[in-house]
Amino acid sequence: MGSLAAVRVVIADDHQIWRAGVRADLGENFEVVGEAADGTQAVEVIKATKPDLVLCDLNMPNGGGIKVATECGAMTKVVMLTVSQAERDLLDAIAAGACGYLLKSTESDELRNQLWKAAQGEPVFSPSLAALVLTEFRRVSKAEAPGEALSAREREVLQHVARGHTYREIGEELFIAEKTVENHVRNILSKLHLNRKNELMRYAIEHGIE
Amino acid sequence: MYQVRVLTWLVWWHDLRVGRQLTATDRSLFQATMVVRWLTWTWAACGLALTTEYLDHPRTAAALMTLALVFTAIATALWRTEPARLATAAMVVAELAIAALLLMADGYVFDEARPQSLPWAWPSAGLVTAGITFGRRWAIVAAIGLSVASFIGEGQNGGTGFSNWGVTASSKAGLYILTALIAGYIANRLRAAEVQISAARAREEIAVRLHDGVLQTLAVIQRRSSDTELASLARDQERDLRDYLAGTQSAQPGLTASLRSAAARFERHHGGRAEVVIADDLEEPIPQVIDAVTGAVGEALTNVGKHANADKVVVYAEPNFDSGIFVSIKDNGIGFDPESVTKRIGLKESITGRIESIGGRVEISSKPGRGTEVRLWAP
Repeated sequence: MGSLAAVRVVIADDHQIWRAGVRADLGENFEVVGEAADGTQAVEVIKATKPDLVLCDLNMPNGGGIKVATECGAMTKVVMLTVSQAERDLLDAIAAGACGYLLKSTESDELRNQLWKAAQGEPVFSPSLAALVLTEFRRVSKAEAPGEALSAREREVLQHVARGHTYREIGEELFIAEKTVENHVRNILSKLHLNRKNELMRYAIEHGIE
Repeated sequence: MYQVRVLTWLVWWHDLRVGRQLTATDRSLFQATMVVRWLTWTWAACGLALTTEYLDHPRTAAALMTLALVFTAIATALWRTEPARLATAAMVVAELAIAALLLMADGYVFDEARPQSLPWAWPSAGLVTAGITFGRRWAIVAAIGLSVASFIGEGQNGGTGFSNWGVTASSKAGLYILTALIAGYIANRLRAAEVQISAARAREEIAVRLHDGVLQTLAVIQRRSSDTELASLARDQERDLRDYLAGTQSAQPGLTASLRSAAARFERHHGGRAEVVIADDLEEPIPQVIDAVTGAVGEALTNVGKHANADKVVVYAEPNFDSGIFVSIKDNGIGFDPESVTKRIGLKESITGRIESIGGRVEISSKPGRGTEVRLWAP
């Protein structure tokens, strides 16, 4: 994807006013190629339009963000938009394949900025998401849940994100390249993804769900 | 539970006049007392039938028992049609008066060798109703009244000495007071639990119904409004609603609530955005630590507002590795040269002083153009 071309976006949200608002906010670097009002419709629109980026509300009728992330996370970048950090759901959406999330109250400039970075393949990790993921891994390391733990470096990177550092600042502080920081974040995401998947499978086996 | 007490008093005041709006708890308690009334009356009637040879005044006994029966029947009818009427002062007083009458007549209707008391345990239903309706205090007053009545009843022809009738009357009195205490206590506890459950349920319902809609609207206002005051109002409201939904609003503000209000203060005074991020496995520290940390974070935010020229600050708190908490305040402002001593002194006094007083430590790092971060570790 050439960075000069506008980013092709699908907006999925069950509130029309919100879709209109985001559309107006995105500006000229983004082209809205489709809109959807629920999970099922979103999956259809995404499959038809093959966008670079999907902005998806976490809570929508017919499956919502988790369904969209599960079904489309591999083919495009799904960014969750949510009104609050309703923890489990959000973590599930991220684990299902979303590449990050933003609070709906994020200011316009910041929203554009973050979405642009997401379209370039950078995981959109806000401090609160980092804190959520850190908590989840602390749970894992206390052996309350099985799964792969974070390496010391990954934990360090994640904690810096939670404290509000940018990838660039983290790179400078830890004497590593910004790209390396991004790679750490991606690894953290795939570990999270794996752990959640295993946990779901274990749950299914324990409860006799085939 | 100050609020619950005030609520109880208000309810009490209201009930004296019109009879209360019955809750589900009250209904089931009333149902139970209804069963108690019938069982105890039947028992007392059987006892009376079996002990007629000890009766001096059988007609009076029969009349009094009929009175108790009529009341029991009326109460049952009311319970089926207008249960709220059971919770009025008139009904409670009437039942207690009948009970007192039966107790006082005890010595008159029976001769000295009587094997049982006239109303047996029937008065306990009235006590329980008083406890449910007017609380422990009034139930105890009623129990004392019934005790006096039973002393009068027992004393009338127990001329053979206090040890004979006094013991019986005293143990009855003890039983009545105990019943009143238990009834009032249980009713209060159940009612308080009901208040809490319904508050939690209301919160849940608001969360389900309004969560998306209202928070959504507030988010739209914040992002679409060019009026900064309106936007910050919407932000405050969003924060309040979220705190309410999370149930973090309590009489004693915890660390999360304190840090949030420090952040809100910063946003109001300095206009930047302050994000508060708290790991949800963070355990609530003791009040002194909360005070010191909140104070230090407030100072750090004031510093950011005055000197940093930042538009974004993140306040982050998580559990420390072994014990205690870690808190950081990071801005995206102009930063400063750590070598320039003057600014560090100001920061040190206001922040380090507070944290060291509770046995913690502080680190401050900054670089021109890269913002400033204050990190603190507290026990």
